[in-house]
Amino acid sequence: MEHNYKIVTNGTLLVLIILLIGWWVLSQITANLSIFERNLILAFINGLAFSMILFLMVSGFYLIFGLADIINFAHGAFFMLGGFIGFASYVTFENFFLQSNLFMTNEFFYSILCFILAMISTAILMGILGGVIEFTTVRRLYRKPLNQILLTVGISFLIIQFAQLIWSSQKTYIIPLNTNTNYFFVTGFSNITSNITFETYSFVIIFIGLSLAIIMYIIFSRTKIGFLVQAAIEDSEMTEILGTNVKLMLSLVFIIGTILAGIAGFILVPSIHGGAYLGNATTYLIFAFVIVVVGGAHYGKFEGTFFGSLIIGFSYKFTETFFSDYTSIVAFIIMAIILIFKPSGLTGQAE
Amino acid sequence: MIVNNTSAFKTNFLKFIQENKTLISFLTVLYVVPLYTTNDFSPLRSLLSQITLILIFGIFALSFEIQLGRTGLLNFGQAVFFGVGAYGLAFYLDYVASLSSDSGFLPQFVVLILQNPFMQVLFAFVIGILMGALLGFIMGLTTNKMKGITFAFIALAIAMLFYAYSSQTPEGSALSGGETGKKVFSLDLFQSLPLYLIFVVLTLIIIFLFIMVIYKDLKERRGMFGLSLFESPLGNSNENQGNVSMNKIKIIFLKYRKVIKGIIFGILLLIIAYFIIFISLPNILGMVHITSNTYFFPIPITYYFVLTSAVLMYLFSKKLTQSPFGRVLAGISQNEERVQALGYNVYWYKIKALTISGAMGGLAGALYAVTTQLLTPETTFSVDNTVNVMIYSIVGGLNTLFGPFIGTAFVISSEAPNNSSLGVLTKILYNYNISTDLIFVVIGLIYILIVMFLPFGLSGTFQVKMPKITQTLRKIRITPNDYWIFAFFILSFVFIFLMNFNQILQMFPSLTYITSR
Repeated sequence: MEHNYKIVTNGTLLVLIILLIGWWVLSQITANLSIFERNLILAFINGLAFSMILFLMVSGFYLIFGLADIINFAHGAFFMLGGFIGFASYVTFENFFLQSNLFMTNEFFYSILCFILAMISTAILMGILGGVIEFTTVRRLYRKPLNQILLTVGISFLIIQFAQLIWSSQKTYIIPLNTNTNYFFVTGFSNITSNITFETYSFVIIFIGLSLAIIMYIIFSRTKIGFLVQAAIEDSEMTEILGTNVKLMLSLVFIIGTILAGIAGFILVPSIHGGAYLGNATTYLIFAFVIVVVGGAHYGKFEGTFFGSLIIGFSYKFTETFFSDYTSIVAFIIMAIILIFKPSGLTGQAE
Repeated sequence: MIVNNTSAFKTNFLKFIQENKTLISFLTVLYVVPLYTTNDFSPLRSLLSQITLILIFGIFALSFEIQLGRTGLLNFGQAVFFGVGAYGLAFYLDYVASLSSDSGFLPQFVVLILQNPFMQVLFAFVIGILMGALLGFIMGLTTNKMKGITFAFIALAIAMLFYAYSSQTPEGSALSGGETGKKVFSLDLFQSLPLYLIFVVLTLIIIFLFIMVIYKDLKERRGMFGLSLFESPLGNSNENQGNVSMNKIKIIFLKYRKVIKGIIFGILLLIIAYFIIFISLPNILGMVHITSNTYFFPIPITYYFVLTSAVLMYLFSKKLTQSPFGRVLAGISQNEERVQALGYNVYWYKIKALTISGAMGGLAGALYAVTTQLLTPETTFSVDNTVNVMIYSIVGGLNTLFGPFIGTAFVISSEAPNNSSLGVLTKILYNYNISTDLIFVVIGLIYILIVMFLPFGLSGTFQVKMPKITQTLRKIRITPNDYWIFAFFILSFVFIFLMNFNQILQMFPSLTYITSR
């Protein structure tokens, strides 16, 4: 990342500036927008939100894969489980606050509080789960990739069956509809003009996603641990020889990856298009594969996952709005194209 | 001249029998079991249909194992071979059926040839295999200069393209039957007489081979019966103690060796003849009667068909791994650059390996289309199929050829529902009042335990520990020559056990009363 430093900062600044200008331009346009342009803007915002969720999930997957060559088949299951755990903890906190009669009048405030508390508790619970799994099983099979694949498949199987036991398999749980107060701090739709309506919550997703991305970028490029993790991803044997404890780093990375997947799953829950749903596990796992390949799988860099998730998220949402029949295929077509023309992904270096 | 030829043939034949004793005794049990009953609804029939599915997925897992265990190519898109073979067969059968109404541009005699039932079956399977091989070839073309993981993902992309296209786009759903599935045109041949007779003859041939195995084994035995449980393995010691009567028995045995062996052989022949004449012949004739009445009774034929193809695939894979081609593949799996440096064109070998395994996957798909006559994208193209096959191979053992079959049998039998004969594990768990959902949690835990403690899989660990086991067994004078006896009896007992498991389970203290079926 070091020689990309300037490009990345300049690029991100540019993207942010474009976004702001675009926002201002949009707000100046009056009601005379055709349906096509309305859909375009809708797809853009939805795509950005979706990309943020994908990015959070995939960064964990990429870290685990890059560091230890483990294809974590259970990552989708962690994502799904994060959604369910977050939903359950949100409801629990809400009930707790209702019963204790605090903030009775100010629903907005305590909805935010529940949300933040639910996010923290999801992170803690997923971290504990990841730590337990890593300590008991993944650690034993270090450097045996096939057994790890089967192991993670088994874990994914277990988690899905477990979730099916506790929560029903057909329902999708969305926060504003399934809670006691039917209120969430950002519900509904906001309008730029009376003709463009989209869900306000998308902005929350974008905000949380971007801030976490910036935090991760800072950690990876400015702190010592970040540099060590990058070095271990590039050449773990050499890093181990030079004195760092790569196994400990693997545990740390696994836990952080699980936490990220859980948070991403939870963030998806309040959105109308999302929700906690059992089928999420396999769907998002396949997205993770696609994004890791597009962004640069083995010899790629961390920005690869960011740009890859942007590409896949945007293309998915755009095709969903305009060519709704081909939504599932477009991600794989993009993956196939990139694999044919640049086999090591967008940011990977060729063998 | 003629004497030389026959004796050469005879030596080769006897050598073949000598080397494949365990396999022949396995096959005898598997081929002979369906002849026990003609009852359409007996539990043996449902067990056979489940075993047919196990064998189909076993062939599929074998194709995966050739890629991963032999060549070291991890492939996340394995399901596409399966689906393409299955759908290829279905489309071809539809095409042939539509030829009767409108022959199009084909000349009349070609249409007649194609409509012949034998040719239908032959060409349908050939097309299924060829489609699988074509997909394998295409996948092979993409492996140039790529690290292993990238190839896995490309294969996944191709597989998911097929899956998404056939299940979620309108044109694709129309072609593939969408969620309700595509009905496969049922083959009349599979319920007809000639194929059934062919397989009965094949069963008799296998029984004959089994008799040859017994004959050869008896002929070559030294000592009393190989098992020396009552004397020291070092043979006659110099001590004068030891029973005088035992010594007398040994002397008598040595003197009349051939007679005693002949008597034993005759008794065994009588048992087998009794079985053939009194138990299976009425069943054979009974089933013939049923099929000539156009009573739908395809299970023995599909079972035999699938079993024969599984055996052929196993022998083919065995030949493949022991050939020079297989050796190069083994080298590629261990160190690709070295093989390239030695002058082999690694890219071309990978393409060939993928084509072969694609053909095998296509065959498995075609067999699946013929047995379960309904195809959906979920069961054929989905990632679940690939993941299942990976589980089967890895649980079974990646470094053996029996491994995929054993792994498939283990996994499918552990997930079998409560009311089937194969569901031993679910019945035990149900007996102790564990609810159905928790059963899957327990099964997942079992897989994780197998992966952690048996890293080579079930059959692989067995093979790795083989020298030790052989040594232990040699101490009681059981040599590898004798393993076929154990294979025969163990497999027969497994069948008897499965058939009577309900009664066995009632003997144990249970918390709920089992009501099966």
